[in-house]
Amino acid sequence: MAMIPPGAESGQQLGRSATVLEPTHAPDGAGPLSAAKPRSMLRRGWEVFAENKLALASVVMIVFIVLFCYIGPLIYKTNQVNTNLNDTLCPPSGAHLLGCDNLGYDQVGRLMIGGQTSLEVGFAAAIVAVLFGTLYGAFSGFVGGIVDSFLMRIVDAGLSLPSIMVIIILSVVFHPNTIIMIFIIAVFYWLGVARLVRGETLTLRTREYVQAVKIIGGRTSRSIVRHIIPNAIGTIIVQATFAVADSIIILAGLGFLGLGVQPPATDWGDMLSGGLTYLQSAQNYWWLIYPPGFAIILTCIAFNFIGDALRDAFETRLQRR
Amino acid sequence: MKRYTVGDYVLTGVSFLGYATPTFFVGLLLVEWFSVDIHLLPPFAPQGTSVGQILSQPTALILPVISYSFVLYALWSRYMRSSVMDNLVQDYVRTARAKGASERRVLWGHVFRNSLMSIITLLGLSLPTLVAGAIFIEVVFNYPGMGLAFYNAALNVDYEVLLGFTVIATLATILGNLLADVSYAVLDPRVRYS
Repeated sequence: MAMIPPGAESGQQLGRSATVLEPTHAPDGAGPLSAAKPRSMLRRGWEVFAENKLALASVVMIVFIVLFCYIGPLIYKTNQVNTNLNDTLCPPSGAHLLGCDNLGYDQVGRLMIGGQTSLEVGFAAAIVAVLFGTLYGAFSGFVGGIVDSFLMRIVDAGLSLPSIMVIIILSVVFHPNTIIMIFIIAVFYWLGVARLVRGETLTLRTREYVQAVKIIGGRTSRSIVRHIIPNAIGTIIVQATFAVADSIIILAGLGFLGLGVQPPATDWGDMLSGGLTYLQSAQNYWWLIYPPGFAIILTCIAFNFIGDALRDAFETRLQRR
Repeated sequence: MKRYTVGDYVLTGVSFLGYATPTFFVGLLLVEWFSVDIHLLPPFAPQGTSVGQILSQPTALILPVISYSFVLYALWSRYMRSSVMDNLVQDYVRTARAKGASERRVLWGHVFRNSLMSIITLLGLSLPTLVAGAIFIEVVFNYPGMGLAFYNAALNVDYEVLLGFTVIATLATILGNLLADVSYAVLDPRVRYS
């Protein structure tokens, strides 16, 4: 816990260097030797990624879903604030493309704002968890010794708790809004990330270039942010991709149990739980469950495909067989 | 595994589908199709307090069991795929091929057994899922198990019950880890704890 201030500070550094890394990839301070090599690695990675048509389709899918959720409401205007009891459970028609839910909200519009919540929480929780987990794991692995043992026992203890149960308890206690929701999900997700990054760090810290930084008097934070994390970035990005999908599923689960964000806000899981009630009234209200359900599936499957392709792209060991 | 073939894409696709689908949505869909649309199977899990009572309603068991096993299948096949892929590039696979073992023998005799090693860890870790129960499945099908009890306790903010369940599930995790470690030593002669 004592590492939060430096962690938060270098967290911003990581965010910056990561955005710089993607398009140009010029790790200043890494010297001319490594300046050319990572670029070719990225290009090779991109080739492997592009080879995977499913992954490309998934990227298109994600872009489409994001546009649908954020640009959609500007084009397809619906009233998502007031209930409209005249339209309760109305079937799909020209006025309401996917019908209405039990409170007369238009389903398409509801999908959009629910999607906003799901995507925001998914992305934010993934970023928070991966950032913190990365810094924690890298620090722990790099420093080593007693500090490492201590920090990792905390992670082990966290991992032995059944996450979904504790997440449910936390949601009950806090009545979460979007922000709290993000942290509730991230609170468990960073543990796994920390463990992975630590493992990666253990192999990286013995490399010559990391040793060299130590010898010429570089600070620990510099080694971690400039050298360890950029070299572990493959693992980290893959993990982040899966984290988004998993966070969306967890949020959907909580929403389904009625413990997610509170009305009038909604998310896709919350919409499904409304569907369950009316499904059992033995009438075919299919528009209550198919749209949000398939929205969740499409989003998560797309993120999983992307993550899988990224892993293939980064893991050079598995590429040539 | 034939990586990057049509078969790989289809099977991976199915398991991704299972992985990306929330458990409760699988349940919902099955209820919609088999109970609401064609009235074939009851939408609820068997109600009862003893094993006998629950087993006496076999038709009611079908939907919950199918939906939960679909999700689990997705999870395990995914782990297994990556585990097999890791193992395929190992030296011993090349050795086995070099000495002329058939592809089937390489896969089932060598790779499969070694890939199971990493699955064991996960089996140990998944023990708490059995104890904690499939909360979502139990809520969808109203199955009177631990998951549903936990959910109801959560809704009523019944801290004692919540705490009790969490402690039991935690103990199960630790026990599962221990079992996984022990079975490592039993199954892999290279592993020795001394």
